[in-house]
Amino acid sequence: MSNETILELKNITKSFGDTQVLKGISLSIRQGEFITLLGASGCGKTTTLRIIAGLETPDNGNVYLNGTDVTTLQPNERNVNTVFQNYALFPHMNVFSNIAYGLKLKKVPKQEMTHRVEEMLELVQLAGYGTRMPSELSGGQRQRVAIARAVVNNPQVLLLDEPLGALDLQLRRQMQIELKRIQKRLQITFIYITHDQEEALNMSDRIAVMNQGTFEQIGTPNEVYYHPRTSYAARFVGTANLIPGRISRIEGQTAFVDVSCSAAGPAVQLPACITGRQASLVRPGQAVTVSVKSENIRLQKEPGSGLRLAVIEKNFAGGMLRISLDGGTLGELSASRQGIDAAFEAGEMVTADWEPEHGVLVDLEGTDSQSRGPAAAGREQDA
Amino acid sequence: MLSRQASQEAAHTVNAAGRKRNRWWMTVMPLYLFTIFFVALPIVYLFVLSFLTRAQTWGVVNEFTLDNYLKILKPVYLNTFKESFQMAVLTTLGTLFIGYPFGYLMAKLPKKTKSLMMLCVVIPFWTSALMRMYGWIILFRSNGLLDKVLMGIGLTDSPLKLLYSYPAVLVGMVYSLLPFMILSVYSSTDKMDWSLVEAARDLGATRWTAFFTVTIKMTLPGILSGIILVFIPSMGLFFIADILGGGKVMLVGNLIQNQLQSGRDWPFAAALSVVLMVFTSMMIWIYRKATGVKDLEGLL
Repeated sequence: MSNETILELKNITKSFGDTQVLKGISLSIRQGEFITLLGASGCGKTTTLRIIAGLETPDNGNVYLNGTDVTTLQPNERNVNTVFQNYALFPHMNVFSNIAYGLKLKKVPKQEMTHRVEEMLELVQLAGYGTRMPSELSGGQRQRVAIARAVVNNPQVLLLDEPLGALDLQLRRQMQIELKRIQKRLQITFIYITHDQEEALNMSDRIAVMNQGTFEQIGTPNEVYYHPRTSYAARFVGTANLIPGRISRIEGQTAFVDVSCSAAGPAVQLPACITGRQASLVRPGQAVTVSVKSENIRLQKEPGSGLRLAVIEKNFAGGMLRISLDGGTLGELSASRQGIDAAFEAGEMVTADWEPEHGVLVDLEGTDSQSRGPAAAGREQDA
Repeated sequence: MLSRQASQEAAHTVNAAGRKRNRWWMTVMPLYLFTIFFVALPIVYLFVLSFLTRAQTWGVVNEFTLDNYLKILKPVYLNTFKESFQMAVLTTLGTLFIGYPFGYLMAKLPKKTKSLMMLCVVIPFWTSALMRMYGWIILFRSNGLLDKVLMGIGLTDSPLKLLYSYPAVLVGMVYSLLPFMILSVYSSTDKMDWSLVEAARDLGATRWTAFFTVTIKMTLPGILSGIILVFIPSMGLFFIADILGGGKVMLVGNLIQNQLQSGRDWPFAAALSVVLMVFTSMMIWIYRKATGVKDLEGLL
């Protein structure tokens, strides 16, 4: 991955009728990067992708590809290719012709075309499938053809719109690995859309969490997971508990937050870390929200300095034991543990707290697309 | 004892299955009866009639002959077939050139406008076809509406004498068969997966290239069913040529009608009909073989 910016979005807005789908988003993507737009359906991620592809024109703002403004260029005039959600393979052409479609339009000599298509078939492990029709392929195979058809054109940026959405879990895992392998080998910039946080965390160099037409946070999987900037990002990536409170005092990098689980009840002091940029934004007496990942909630039977809560139920799934806690006015809190055994039973009272570094203050600043330009996001990434 | 019981049981199940089949028969029976009485038998009757001899005054004599078919080989009748075929081809091309863009654009309209347009296409069916043809007379006749407008704006200085000519018949044919083409093209365009066009554009195709390499191919079933729906009737339609051609344009349909009514030669009319039927069936067969399209929008 180089530091060269290949694609830049600047203050893009887009409305369909009365609904504003994109509210001025900015993003800069570096050559060779695997970036994921992560968000629930309707958050504007597909529209963003379509604007990059040229299938949609933004109302305001610009798209720069390799430094050139391509905002008003037709899809066929930009060196960007898309892997569509439903694959969109041409049903009247066989696999070979599907993959060769783009090359044919570019009038690539026949011999070179055959060579390149066959190379692609090999890359996606479909060697010998050239004469099959799309209808004769399985979902996973169609997916591979769709990838090959886009990649064969050597795009500067490859756009993938939930490419694995229609596949079953096992195949999806396998394709995740394969996509990553293809991306590493070809050194093509990938812009990947998904609503699946695991997929995003597994594959991406950077994740842009999207919500209602803005970027909530842009950062590495690590940053987004461990240091969510907003409550939305915290809830969307990993299971986070969002606990409201008021800062009582600040000691160096740690803020102590008064939290109480009933309107009249006594407040308990719990810690949260203050990361670099936040120092200037917090002061004692301020109302804040602390995000704590469920696996970071510490539980013990003995009364202590934490919140005293009742266990509602225990639930074992996927190697993790999820413990639901009655948080009173805080709502239901959840803690998780590796393995099946936990010394707590439903109805028992436990004390919950966490390490200072596991409490993350969220919603202190605006979302990424409002507060900081793409250049700033890029700089932070490099630091 | 045991085996007898078993065989009784077996007989029982066979009986049950038999009853079930009986009931199934009852539901489809009306369909079969309808087809036999109103489609198959008339065709058989037509076929038999075409080999019989014409009676001196009225009706037919039960005498086998091939004369009716040999008569068709006369240049005057062969020429009628040739002319009909030519008219049918021109009509089909005419409806295709107007109907394809029409049906295609109609499918791309927003939902509300779409149903309004659909209504406009279908409304003419609510009035008699004959009346609509008389409408064209008002437009086409000497010093009629068309002439007045053209002469009024100075494009022509004398009446065009369009009525009772070949072009008038062609316009009438295209006009009356156009909805079939529009609706066929519309139904296949409406089903179109537009992400295919986007994929083509994304892979470097211009609007036109995408249209010719993807859209046309995906709407081919609609085009073909439209062609069949227009071509077949245009071989046999007679009243349009009668009304707008004024007897100057003679198509197979007119020939059959003449033989049946004024000529009173039923066997010859039957032979002409059989030949027309065989000819159009062959055309469809060749067409399907040539294009390889299997799904014709539910047709055939």
